[in-house]
Amino acid sequence: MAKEKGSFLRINKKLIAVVAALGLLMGGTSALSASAAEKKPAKKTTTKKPAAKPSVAASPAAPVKTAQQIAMEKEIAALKASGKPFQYWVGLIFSDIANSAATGQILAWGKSRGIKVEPVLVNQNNLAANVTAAVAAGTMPDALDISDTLMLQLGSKNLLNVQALSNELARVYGGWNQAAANFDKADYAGKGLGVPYGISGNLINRRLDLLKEAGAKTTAPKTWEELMDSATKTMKVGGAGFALGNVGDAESVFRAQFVGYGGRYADDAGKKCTIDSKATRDFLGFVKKWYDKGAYSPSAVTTDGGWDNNLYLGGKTVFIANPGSVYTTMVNGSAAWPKNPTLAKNTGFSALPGGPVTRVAPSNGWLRAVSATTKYPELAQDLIRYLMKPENIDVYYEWAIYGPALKGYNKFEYWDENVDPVHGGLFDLATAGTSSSFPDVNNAAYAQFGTEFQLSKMVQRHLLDGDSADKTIAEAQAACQKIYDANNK
Amino acid sequence: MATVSETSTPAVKVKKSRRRGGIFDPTSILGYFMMLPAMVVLILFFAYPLGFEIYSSLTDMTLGNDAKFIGFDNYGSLLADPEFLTAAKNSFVYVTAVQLGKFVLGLGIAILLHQKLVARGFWRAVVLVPYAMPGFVAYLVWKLFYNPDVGSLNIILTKIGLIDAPIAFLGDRDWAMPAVIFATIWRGFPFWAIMFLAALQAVPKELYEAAAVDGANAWQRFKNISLPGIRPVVLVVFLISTINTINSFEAIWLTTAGGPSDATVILPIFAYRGLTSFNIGQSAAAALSLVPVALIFTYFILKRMKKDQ
Repeated sequence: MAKEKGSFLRINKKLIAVVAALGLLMGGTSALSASAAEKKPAKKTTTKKPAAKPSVAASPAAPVKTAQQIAMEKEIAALKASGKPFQYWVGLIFSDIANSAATGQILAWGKSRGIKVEPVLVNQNNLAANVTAAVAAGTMPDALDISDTLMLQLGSKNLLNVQALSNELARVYGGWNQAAANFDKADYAGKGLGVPYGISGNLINRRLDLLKEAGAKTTAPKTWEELMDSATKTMKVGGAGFALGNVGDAESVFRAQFVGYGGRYADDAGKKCTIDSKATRDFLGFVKKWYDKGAYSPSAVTTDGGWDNNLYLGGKTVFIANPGSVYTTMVNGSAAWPKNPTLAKNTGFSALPGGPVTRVAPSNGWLRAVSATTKYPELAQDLIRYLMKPENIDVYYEWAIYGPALKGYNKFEYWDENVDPVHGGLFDLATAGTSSSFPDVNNAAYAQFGTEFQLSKMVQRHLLDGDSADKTIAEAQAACQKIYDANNK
Repeated sequence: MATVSETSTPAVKVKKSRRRGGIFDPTSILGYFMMLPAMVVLILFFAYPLGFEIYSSLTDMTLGNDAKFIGFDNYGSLLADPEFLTAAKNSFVYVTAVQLGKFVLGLGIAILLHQKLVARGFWRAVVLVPYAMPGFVAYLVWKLFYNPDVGSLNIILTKIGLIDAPIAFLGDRDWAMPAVIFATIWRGFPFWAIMFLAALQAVPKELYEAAAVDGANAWQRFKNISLPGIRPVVLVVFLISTINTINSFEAIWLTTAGGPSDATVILPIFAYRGLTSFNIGQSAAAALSLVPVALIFTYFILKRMKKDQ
């Protein structure tokens, strides 16, 4: 979980001091390197920029079996003969630099293999619709970046099993960090269907200056109650920028609150829905209470994925939950927003608060998957292997909003919260965060429940339609059971 | 020979005529050959997608599973789905209100622009602006206009004292549908206005002059000359625009995305949501559910047009 900037500074000072002392005692840099592999270092030890030309043969992950080489050569010949490009869908994220890095690396890989490649940037918010259409039309790309929920729903019918590649990368790069390891568990329904490359999750961004002006607490809120209380005190300057509509931002925050109040979608078997519970009533009561107090922005009910980001960047809200794209924009600027170092300075970052029952730091995974319809599976895996090389992913991570998937990536300097608070938070999320599905079973039904914004719909029926909590919960329970039954046929 | 045949008895004429137009007639084969590209395009881009959509609606197709034929089960479950029924009701309200609004505003503006105004050409161009704007720009501007935090509508209404506090026009259950309807009318009425204007200009002036001589007032001239004169155009515009509005997606998606809650969910939005949650079979059924309504509507309009002719 992400920690307060101050506390991190203290921890880091201690850590640096201990590591430095050890280094001096050991009389060499080997101890420093060893520590760096496990914890965040004071200094970055890898090359900053990737080699312009890929050196696949020199990669530690590169040694492939002869059979694989032969198969790949055949695929290269077939691809060239077809005259068509190898297509990869890159998950479009907020950082233009990260997007360019990803597409540039894919093109460089294609050049090294002597083939035509076509990296296509697909907005992550539209990925589900695009993939659905592509599956129906038989036009899936050869490989793609994919969310863990979408991967579960696509399943083994639409995605190739790349467990061997996954194992190979884990072996070469020191194993998976905790959040990524969730996708490698034996009981995970999507095991082997993708290679985790990025861990994302929300951090609370809060305006320290506005909170101070309003006489509210500037320290990181420990509970959702505490946060919403501060939000009502700052309503004149924006309050809470949490969405209430059918949008992923709303669903993810509601999910964290719902779990915080002890809620879960289904039982341990992942079959029987448990929405109709006291925990759900408590959760709904919490949201209603603060909605009635006016803690939510009036425009919160009809929002899109960028609404809260723009609200915060425009200085119109005090709290938002964001995976880091807002901070990246403040620091680097974007096509729509200029750099805003003052806003960055006035922003505090912290982990999501907790409810009365528990506190969770849900982490989501982004994975690289190979389409079952591809004619070039070896090439697809070769590309993934190339993209996962530390020198390549280093450049991507530096500008993207993901925590590290593999332990071998933990050495990059920007994971240090003193260097970059958001990257520090994402590092914590990747190494110590809970799975976004916790405590539920991460299966296709769980994924579908979230994709259909069922939690947000339940809240809206209670808040906006005026339905009683009992009626709302009964409807949500029925909808949930229908989804779980359909998926457990 | 042809001349002889044509001057022969009607029976012979019909027979010869049929032979000349038969499918094995070299001219016919050439004709079919010439039509082939268009037919291929139609089959590829119209018949196949429609056929696939109908097939999908009769299966339990989801993203990760094989599609099994389930007959009309999807349609049955739609009728039992309260969200679908709400979407159907919203669609009816939306389409009716939008079409009525476009008709009244379009006709009113067309009559106004038909008068001898100063800078008439300029005003005619100005009227076209909403229609000429890309849809997504128009609706995003409306979304901003309605915004309770920074929208100019709230600022204006507050300044002139009509409201005390900003209204979330798109976020309030009671306001959302009227707000979206108004934006849709604004975007679509110019098409109606320009078409009506063109039709009004085609009505012979002599009719108005004769009516004036007979002592008919403005309303009588409009009712008895203008309206019958433009009726064929009204029917065509009504037909095209209604089909477009029934299938309209961007107006609502870009402003409210169907919210708040389900206040502005119409059938295309409902179908799209189904698609994004991978219920391909059911969303295909939802998308097709309005086709019979559109077909019946089209049938009656075409019948009316034929009668007028």
